[in-house]
Amino acid sequence: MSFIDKIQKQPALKPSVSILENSNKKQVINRASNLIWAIVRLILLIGLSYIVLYPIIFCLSLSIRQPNDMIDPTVIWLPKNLTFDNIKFVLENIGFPEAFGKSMAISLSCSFLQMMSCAITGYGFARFKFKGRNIIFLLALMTFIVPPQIISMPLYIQYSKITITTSQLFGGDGIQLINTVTPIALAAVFAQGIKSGLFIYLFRQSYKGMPKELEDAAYLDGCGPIKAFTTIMFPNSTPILLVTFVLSFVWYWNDYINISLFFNKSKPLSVLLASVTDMFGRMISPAGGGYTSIEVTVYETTFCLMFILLPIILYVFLQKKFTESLMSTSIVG
Amino acid sequence: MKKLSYERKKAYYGYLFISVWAIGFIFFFLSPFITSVRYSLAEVTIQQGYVGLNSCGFNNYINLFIKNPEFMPAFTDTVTSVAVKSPLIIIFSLFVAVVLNQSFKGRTFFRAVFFLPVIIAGGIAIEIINGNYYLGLITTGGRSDSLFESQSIAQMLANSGVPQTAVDYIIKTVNEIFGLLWNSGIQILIFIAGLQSIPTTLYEVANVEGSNGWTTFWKVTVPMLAPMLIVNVFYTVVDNMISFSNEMFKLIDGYLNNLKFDEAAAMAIINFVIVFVMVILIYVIGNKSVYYAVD
Repeated sequence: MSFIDKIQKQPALKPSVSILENSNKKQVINRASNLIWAIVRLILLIGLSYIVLYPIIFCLSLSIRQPNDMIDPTVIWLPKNLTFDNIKFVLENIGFPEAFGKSMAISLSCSFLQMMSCAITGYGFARFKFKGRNIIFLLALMTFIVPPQIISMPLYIQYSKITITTSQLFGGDGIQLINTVTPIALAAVFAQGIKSGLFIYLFRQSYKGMPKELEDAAYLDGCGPIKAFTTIMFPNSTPILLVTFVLSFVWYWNDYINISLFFNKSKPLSVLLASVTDMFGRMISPAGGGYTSIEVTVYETTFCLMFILLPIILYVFLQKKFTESLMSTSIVG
Repeated sequence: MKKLSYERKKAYYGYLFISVWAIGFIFFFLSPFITSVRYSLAEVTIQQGYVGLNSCGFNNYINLFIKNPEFMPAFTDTVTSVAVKSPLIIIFSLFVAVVLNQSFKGRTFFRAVFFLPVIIAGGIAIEIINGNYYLGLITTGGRSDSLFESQSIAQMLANSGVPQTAVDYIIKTVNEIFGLLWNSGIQILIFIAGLQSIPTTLYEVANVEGSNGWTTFWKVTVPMLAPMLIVNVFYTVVDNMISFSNEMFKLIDGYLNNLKFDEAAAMAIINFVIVFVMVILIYVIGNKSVYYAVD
């Protein structure tokens, strides 16, 4: 469009009057249709954003109301009495803080380890030619399409076996690996964490996109490949490092399939959240008797809000950098 | 010692760099994978932590398809929902990406909103909220049965002579828009990245040649986006097949909790085989019909 405008604005062409009038008319129509489209677009986007944000607004609204407000038809979004009792209840009664700490430990350590191991692997695939590279890379991608249960189930049995054999050999309880971070962290150390195939792919793409001259200069100055990676390539790949860290942090935080298998006694947040309905069913309320289903719903939703709060806060702070980095790395396809 | 050539040396360094992954692949992927296959071909008994395998050929698989009352419904439900949802997600995310790629005020905000599901979706929280918000709305004075006033629309459509099956399908799709939106964050992102990589000169040429917006979209945007389209189809299918929210995974999880390792393994492997076949199909079809501007 800009090109046409430029031609039309050329004074050297000296267009006849009728053409000028014509283009004026066109411009008016153009402007009108642009305006209409802008309005339609705005309405559409606001509507769709509402749907996306709906569950979060819903959680927020439910978590600050009293259970009584649930059956009050006049209460839609804003509760009659603002209360923080629900949040207090979840914090105090079902072991939220411990579970939060556990989830934090798992997510932080595993996402860091996964970031490191996938960066090293991705660099190996991006910059070195060796026999069978393409086939091995395909295998690395393959791990992405395998349902996690296929892998975690035998591992679970493996780790329980270790506990039993060590207890038979040395007496006592043996080495406990289930209910610790070890099984999940070990997989992350060896680049087999959650969706690691995707991260290896992203790292490979982004290292391929970096200029080769960087390393050539380092080689000329007497660096080996390892030093070139640790001192030049790795520190210079902060965008993709950020993307990997944030995504894997969030995916470990949200993960249920792996974590629920390896943690059956001590519960991280996602496992606790899944079992919370049963827990409320068994608990006795201070008024005596069980909790009503409405109370359970309110508490459960409050728990959900507290569960997704950390990823949301993380996202709000890193949003711009995160999306920019993710876009720039996925371009190099 | 003979000095290694530069190329050989670099190749060895390549192996060194991927060695960490290779060790992990063998011990944390390949060996458990093979074990799972063995479980799926045997009767597994667990006594005091020891796993007894009693090989029984393909019995587990045959049982799943013939005897098991839960498997077939979950299986067909998963496959059909992926088959229906994936094209919708792709079309929808392409549309949103095209809109979000235009420049207007508040674009950053809307982008942030649409990428938000990338952070939260796939978690257990959204499953529970999903379950609860229907419950919540029902208990809130019975105002409406879901996010949209779909009941009254359904009534209206049925009264105006639209066949019932069509009405059901429309209502189902409308009610699923929540799921669609929440599953298309990454896809929108990939499409926007693709849109930004299309050279503007192509659009200028199209304009000079007198092409209107619609034609430009089909003749320039879509072909140039085709590689991204394939990536997105791939991602959407895999993401939906391997997701905590599909029926098959719920079933597998239930079996695992009851320590029925053999049938759970068989189900997981069936799931894997289907995803594998789908991925190969996407790859073959994509490779034939996609034009790569680079390479």
